[in-house]
Amino acid sequence: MRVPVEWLKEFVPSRLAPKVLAERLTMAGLEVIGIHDSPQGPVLDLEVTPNRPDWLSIVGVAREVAALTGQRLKTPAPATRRPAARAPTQALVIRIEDPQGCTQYVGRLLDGITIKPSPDWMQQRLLACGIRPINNVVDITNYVLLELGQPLHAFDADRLADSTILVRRARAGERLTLLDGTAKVLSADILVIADARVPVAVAGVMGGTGSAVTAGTRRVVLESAAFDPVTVRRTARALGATTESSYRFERGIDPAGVEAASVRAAALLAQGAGGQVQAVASVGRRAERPVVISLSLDRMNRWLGTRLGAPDARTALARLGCRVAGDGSRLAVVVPSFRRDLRQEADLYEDVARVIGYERIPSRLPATPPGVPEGGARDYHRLQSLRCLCASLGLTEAITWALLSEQDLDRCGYSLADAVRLANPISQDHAILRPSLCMGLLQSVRQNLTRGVDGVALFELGGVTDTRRLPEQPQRLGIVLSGRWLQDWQGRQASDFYRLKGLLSALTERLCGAPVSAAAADQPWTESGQGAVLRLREDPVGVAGLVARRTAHALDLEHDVWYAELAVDRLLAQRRREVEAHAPSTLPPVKRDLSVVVANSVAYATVVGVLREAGGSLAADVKLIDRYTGKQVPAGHYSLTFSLDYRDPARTLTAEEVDTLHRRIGQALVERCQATLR
Amino acid sequence: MSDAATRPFGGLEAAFQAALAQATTAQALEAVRIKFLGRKSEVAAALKGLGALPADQRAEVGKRANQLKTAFEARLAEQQAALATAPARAALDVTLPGTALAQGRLHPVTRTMDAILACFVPLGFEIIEGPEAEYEYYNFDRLNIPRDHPSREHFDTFFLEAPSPQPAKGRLLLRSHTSPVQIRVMERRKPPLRILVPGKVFRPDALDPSHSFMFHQVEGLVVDDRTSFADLKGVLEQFLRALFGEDTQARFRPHFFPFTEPSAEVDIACRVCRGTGCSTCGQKGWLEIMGCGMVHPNVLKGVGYDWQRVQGFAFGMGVERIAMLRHGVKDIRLFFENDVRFLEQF
Repeated sequence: MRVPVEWLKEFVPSRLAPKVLAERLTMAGLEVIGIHDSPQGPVLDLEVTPNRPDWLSIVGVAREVAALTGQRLKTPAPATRRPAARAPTQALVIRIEDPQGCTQYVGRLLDGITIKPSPDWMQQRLLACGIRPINNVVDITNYVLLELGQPLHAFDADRLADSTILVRRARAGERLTLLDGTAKVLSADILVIADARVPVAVAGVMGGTGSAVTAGTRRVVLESAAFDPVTVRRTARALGATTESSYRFERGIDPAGVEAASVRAAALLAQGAGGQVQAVASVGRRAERPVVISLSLDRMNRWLGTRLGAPDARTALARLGCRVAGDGSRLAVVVPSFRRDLRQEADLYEDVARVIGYERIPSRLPATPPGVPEGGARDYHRLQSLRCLCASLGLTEAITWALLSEQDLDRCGYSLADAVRLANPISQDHAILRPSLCMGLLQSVRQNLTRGVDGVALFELGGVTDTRRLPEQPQRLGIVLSGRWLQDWQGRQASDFYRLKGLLSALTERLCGAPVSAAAADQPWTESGQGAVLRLREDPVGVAGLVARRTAHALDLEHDVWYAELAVDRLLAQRRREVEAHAPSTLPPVKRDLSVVVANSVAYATVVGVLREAGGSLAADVKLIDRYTGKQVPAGHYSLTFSLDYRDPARTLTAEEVDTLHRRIGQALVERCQATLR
Repeated sequence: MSDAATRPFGGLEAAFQAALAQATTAQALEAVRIKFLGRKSEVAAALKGLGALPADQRAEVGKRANQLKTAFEARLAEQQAALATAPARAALDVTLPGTALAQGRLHPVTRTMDAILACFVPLGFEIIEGPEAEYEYYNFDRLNIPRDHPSREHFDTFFLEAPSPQPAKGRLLLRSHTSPVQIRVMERRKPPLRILVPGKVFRPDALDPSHSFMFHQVEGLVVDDRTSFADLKGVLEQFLRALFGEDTQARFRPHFFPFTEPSAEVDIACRVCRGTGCSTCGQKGWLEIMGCGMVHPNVLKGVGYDWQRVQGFAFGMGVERIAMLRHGVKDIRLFFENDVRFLEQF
């Protein structure tokens, strides 16, 4: 909303500099977002909040300035309270057929109109407010809209069939060409103004070309009406046409101002276009009983944290146009018709606080209540420590888009049939709720590697969407590795499955007190033979593997990309509670190495399982220190070298005991894994 | 007949010198001693075999062997002394870089969110999270944002195509603010309440340097029998000083939110120009930081509270916006590109 300062001064003789005025308004909740120059002098650019349609006019803003400065508001001439002629004459027939959509309609039929350009001062004011001057009649309707906030419309009376105005719903399929030149086919829920035959305007939104005022117009019907906000809002949205008029109707106009605006415009039409009122028809006006709110000073002071007295509240509210009775602890406040937002007691607290100034409300710190009732912070802190744990393992946190494209899902092998889609996406790139974190993390890998970063190790903690569990969104932990892990002058480490598994195990050991185990199982997104399901104490907690080549190719990724995704609730369900600590043994272990050759068909897990079983508790520490395939072993075989620490917490083991056990382990491997000892 | 007799100690001295030069450790030196002076050494063998030699050679060989023995011993002692004072290891080039370690980092949005939460936790706030896929009922209706009302315009929202599992609570949407969690908490608990709600929110805004369709918010809610607008001012002023520095100036500007009454926006004096106006603050001198207000009686009534007996405040802020101010980040999209060269700065 643009307000030329000189126009404002017509109603309130403020001597404040525009910058100071802007500051005062801003601090009263009517934010001035800019001050522009115009031929009319400075123009304030206001951002009006949706609760204050009464600020959508020059007089409305002037009223606020008057309240803030304690000045009197001058009302626009001529007097706005001239009684309307009641009886409709034959010259103009108005019928409201939809009383829900239109509560009041005032029509004035004016004769003797001469169409010409409006005077320069009026054109300048309209331009300063961003409205293009058209001709004297149209300009006056716009001028009064800006001045008083009441939208008006002028029809060419000679183009209205039977001099009749009907306010009704459109009949489905009726057509209307609007003033902006667009031809619309109307639906039955659209409220229209019609003459005896066809719609001539969309109520509260825009007139039609068929009844528009033109150079030859001699008689006009001036419309000033109160249309239902919801109806206008739906219509404007449906037609994709938001106008100065619909904007005000949606927010609510002053029902007491409908007649006043009509009178004001008629006076201007007499002055500027030679129009003489021939007939007045006013339909549907019912006197609204004013809203009276009882204000408890005590309650208000408790709400605001203030010690305001009755005079403070009275003055503030009276300046805003309320009538206030009572002066004890309870005031009766009569709300003016233009304040549709004041409906309950707390609404008044804000207005008192605004006029007094928020800066004059004290600021203090409340006492901290003892204890926290539900301990809800625990969940957040658990997730937060999971994040810190990941970072401590060398992973960098990423936050990726939670909205994806079909292509993103398809690339990673996810079914589009299960996709949860947005009904109103802003772009097809971000139209589906993510079923996994992998798409976003892969995009991040691509972003980095294509920009020349050598390697990435990222994690993300976030919700994913599963059609079957909506609206719940399970939390997942995604980890992605690609490219070089670390490289320096002493060497480098590549990203591979074992590094990924090592990270995951370190994570679960610290969080849950046990490493993850992996079993081969391909995933929709993995390369064949390169995927695994991860288990923690037998409970499946996630998946891991090499991202399929077709996916990597689609993302222009040349490097191998390793990905894992874990279900956070399952991890947290197994988190370590209080740890019971054991004092470490002070007795030195007996160390022995063991090398075996086994066939490729025997998995490592089998070998180590047999080894541990045979070793029992005395083989306290079993570490794989080498795995070899090559010339030194037969084709189709590989060798494993373990380092074993034999230890009994209570006594020193003898060399013979250890040798016997070591041999027994070797024997077990030979018998049960068909191993050859080296 | 031994070699020593025919070619007494030929080349032995040269061999000793060469071996000695190679011996840079005490262990190696001992090996040299054993080889050249030990029981099985040539010199020892010669001395031991003197008796077997013809008399004319005996004196010469014996003399020569003793000379060598004395010379070798002297040289070995010298070398031992030299080794004892010499450094045990070659000097380090301490200017070489240290071994690379994997360094993980938390995302700047996470860090800022944590910094915000940490300011309130000592005041007894508990942290509670809620769902991102939300019902209209919580996102709008219960927050006093009626259907078909222009106040919904500020809350343009993504709706889900999926059918609502609870049609009575309206359609499913992606929450446009963290405020619905207020309702969820108030519906199941009684005051006093002091809660913080961090989380992702979504609005259908096209991506540009200052807008994103996905961002993070932190929401706060206090409800008890006495908390007033003055408490709201005190708590938020303390928060802003804790987050942005003791000299931070804040102002409370009346505003409109459907779910608070009175409502305010909170600005801090621009950190770049200190209030005189610059491009960071759009020449305003102030930076809008957050919205707040006293919880609207309709919201309290909606969850079954008696607004005559309980009252309190709510506030909400955008985490990315604050992170941008704290770190001088000019483009919100940097937070979601996850370029490690950006992330590793934090």
